[in-house]
Amino acid sequence: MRLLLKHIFRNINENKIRGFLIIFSLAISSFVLYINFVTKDEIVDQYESLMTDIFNGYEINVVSESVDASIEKDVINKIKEHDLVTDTIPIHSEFCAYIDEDSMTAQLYSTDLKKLNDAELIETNIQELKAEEIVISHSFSSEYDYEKGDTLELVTNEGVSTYKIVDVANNYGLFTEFENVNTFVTKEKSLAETNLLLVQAKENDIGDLLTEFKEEYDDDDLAVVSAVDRTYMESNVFMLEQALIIVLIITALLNILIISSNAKAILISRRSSMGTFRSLGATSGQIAFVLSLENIIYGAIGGAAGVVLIVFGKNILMSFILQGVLGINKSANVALEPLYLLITVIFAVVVQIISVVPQIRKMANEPIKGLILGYARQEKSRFILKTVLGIALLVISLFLWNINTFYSLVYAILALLSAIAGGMLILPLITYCLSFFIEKIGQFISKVFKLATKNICTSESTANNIRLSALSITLVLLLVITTLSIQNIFSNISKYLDADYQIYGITQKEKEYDDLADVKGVKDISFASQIWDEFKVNGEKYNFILASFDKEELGVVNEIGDISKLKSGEAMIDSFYAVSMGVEIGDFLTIENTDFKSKSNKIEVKIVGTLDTKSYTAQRNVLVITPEQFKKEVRDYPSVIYVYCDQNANYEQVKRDLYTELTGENVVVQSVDDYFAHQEQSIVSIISILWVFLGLAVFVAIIGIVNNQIINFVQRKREFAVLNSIAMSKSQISLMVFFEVAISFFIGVMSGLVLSLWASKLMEKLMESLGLFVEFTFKWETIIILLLILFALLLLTALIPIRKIFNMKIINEIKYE
Amino acid sequence: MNTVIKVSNLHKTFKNGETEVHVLKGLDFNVEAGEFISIMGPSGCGKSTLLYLLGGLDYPTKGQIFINGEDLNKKKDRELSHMRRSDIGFVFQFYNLVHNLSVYENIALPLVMGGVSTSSFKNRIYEILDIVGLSDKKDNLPSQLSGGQQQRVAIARAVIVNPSIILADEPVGNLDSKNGQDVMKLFYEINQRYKISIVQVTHDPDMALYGSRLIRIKDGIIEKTEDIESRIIL
Repeated sequence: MRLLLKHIFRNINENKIRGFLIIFSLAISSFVLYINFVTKDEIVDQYESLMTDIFNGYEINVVSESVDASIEKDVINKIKEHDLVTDTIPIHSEFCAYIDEDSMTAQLYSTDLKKLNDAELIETNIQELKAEEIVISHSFSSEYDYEKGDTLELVTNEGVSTYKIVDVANNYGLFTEFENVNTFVTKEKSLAETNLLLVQAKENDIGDLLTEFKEEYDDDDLAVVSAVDRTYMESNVFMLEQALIIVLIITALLNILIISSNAKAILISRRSSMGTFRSLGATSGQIAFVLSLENIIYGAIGGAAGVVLIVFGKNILMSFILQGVLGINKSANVALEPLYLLITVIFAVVVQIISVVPQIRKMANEPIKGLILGYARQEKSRFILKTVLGIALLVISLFLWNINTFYSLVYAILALLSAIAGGMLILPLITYCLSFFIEKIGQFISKVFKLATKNICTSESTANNIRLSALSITLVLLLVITTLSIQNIFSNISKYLDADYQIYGITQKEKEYDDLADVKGVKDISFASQIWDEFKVNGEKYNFILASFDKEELGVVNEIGDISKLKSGEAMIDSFYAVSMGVEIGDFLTIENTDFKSKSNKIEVKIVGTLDTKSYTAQRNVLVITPEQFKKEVRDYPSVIYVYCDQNANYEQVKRDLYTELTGENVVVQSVDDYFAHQEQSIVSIISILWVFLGLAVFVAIIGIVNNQIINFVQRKREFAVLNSIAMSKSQISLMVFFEVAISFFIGVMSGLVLSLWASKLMEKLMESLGLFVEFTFKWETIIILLLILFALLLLTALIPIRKIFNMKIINEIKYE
Repeated sequence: MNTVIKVSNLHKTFKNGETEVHVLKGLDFNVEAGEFISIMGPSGCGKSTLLYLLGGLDYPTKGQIFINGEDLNKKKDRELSHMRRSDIGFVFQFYNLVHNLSVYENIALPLVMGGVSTSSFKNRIYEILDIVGLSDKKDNLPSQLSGGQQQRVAIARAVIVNPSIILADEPVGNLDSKNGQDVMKLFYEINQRYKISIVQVTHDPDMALYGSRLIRIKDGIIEKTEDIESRIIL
């Protein structure tokens, strides 16, 4: 065994370049897998830790439900005296408007600044504030260019107030640069005006205390909430998780191809040794064992390299992801989980073994004589087998796509994988057919061109190049088409959303906002009511949008039934979501949510029709009830106000006036264009992460192609030397090689293009199965430019063999012929 | 004397597309224990094919081969492998050494294949290294040896399991005459010392003279079998 291990390690050492490619590919796969394992927990942990730092133990917030109301003194004292409570900070919080070019709602905390300082919730140089003095945050200071000594105007319920900025708080505690640019502190008010009580408890007691306070104080007047809500962030990372799974599948697929082509070359170089082993009495099982052991070692080294990559790269990548998801510049500190590390190493071994099993089986069962004498086995039967299998897989992918009307993720993934595998398997047939036609055309071009086409079908390295280029092009185009198509979500939704501004953060009934229609420049306003939350439906948990409509609007379209005829107690559901929820017309649903207005926290509805809501939300997880039932049993205030402006209105002034009008409420007035830009940006962040991984994978593929070019030259240099000695000049041989490379990459690029179009259709279905409806469109101009660039890059690799041909010493190569 | 190889009505046909090539056309011969047989014939007459068939590396189209009384046709791949690592030693024209194993390790390789601990065979390996004259090269890699030395390693490897037969395919075909003669002398010495039967395929009449019997093959049949009267005796 020691001797065999020695032999294996020496083999690995001899195949440095190919071995490096294999190990690098495996390391990337392992890295991606580990990132898949830890991303969700890391983001949620970072969010939790950030919020914990911000609130520094004052995690329980008791808030009065109405902006005008305050918390009773008795309640404040009772909470303060509770055994588990270590401290409380009473605050009068009000929302005011900061009116400028970039208007916004600001949060004004009137509280004891010394207490905030002592509680380490703020870091300022002063301890006490006088009337009309204010402390601003560091981020507000830098973003709006305010300094100590400046005056700041805020619009409160009492009118415009002018404050003198006496200090700029450090980026710390409640003023940490995270969604709280707009918090200010002013002089404290009387205890009777307290409407926000920050409660501190010992770390271990927070959970119990929160539950107790919720039971005791959470009612129509008061809300008891935790400032550190893991579930909020857990539901927000769903899309990123899905994207990372797709990256993992694509990376593993590409790696399997790269590894199999490299491992094939390594194994072919081992044929003679294996022949010797066989002649010395090794059974085919022993040969398979030796080769498998070698590849298990490759896998283990690749996995170990992955662990190194994980150790050094995990925090860098995770910081990038945190920046994209949370929008914070915070160094990630991803834990090294031994179990996950072990799984990633095992994963690398499995990927390696999957990649080489066909070749090992082939070699182990090859006739000994062929192994010893170096006869290649007849590949014709395998060509036919591969072609038949490839066509079968493509048909299977078509079949799965066709029958997958119930949005099965498994079917969608299988269809995509079948298509890519099938496409790769029929490449030899495509190569054969295309090179046949090109050869026919070639005879009118030049004899060198014709000779080049003849070589395309016979060279193993060329076949590898075609495979690698086709797969790389497929994946790159698939990603480009997906990225470009995602923008369709917004253009689709924007077709139905013709408002100029939307206002959210609403807490009062519709009639309270009627005055907004009178703001100068506002033509009309409309309300939308929806809750996107986790609901219990007939006892099962689902995450969806419960909305109210009385007609088709905002992209909600009738399929079966008519929204305008919906009665109280009836509901219509998106047809896709009905399938994934297992709901049919006629079913009765009991929907539960603790935030419902009804005393029982339940509503009961009968499904009477289906909707198409893909233009309302790309996730299509929508259930619609009547506005009457919504107001009566779910929530009596709207979630969004849409504002339609006059054509000639001064849009910026309208925004300022809306903020002024809404003073006292924690609302955001956002232009619809800004909303779409923000949404697109969040998707782009996720896609950019995807690009990083695919970029690495394509980089490996290009190294593989370069490597193939070198191997191809080494294998054929005697042939080139003979051609040079009998008929062709080095220039002609170089031209022949250039034509070969150009034709093979042309075939690869065209095959990749066709395959990517089909794969895009399958990706569309896969994304639908993930609950994301994206209408795929093909922007040909971009695709063609990209293809031309990639083709040109691939052509550059022809320089390697051409340079070597010109440097070739003919006599050295032919003297053994 | 025991018959170690018995060949009966041996046929071998190769198919190449539509074409069939009948390489061996009904060979019959025996090899007795301790015999040193030289097989000669022109290129393409089927000499090497015969050798591969004798070693169970290939299958006959028709006919039988008995090694130590056992019919190769009735043996499964696993049993043939077992036979190769215990009863048969191979020596090839191009040595077929494992390039990244040392001389010592190459010789020990058949033992490893048989699942035997190489340390228990240490003395035997040193004894054979001494016989082939490579004791001082035991840690060298094949690339650090001359052709003749590499072929000696191949012979040592064939002998290590103490087989009853050594099959040698053009063992000196790749060597100059001096090295060729040295290798043939080694075969002769092994044949004499260990009484191992040797079947060598050669196209060199001088090298054939190291054997005790000569089988001439032409066009797939045995043209002539003769005892070598002018055998080189060392």
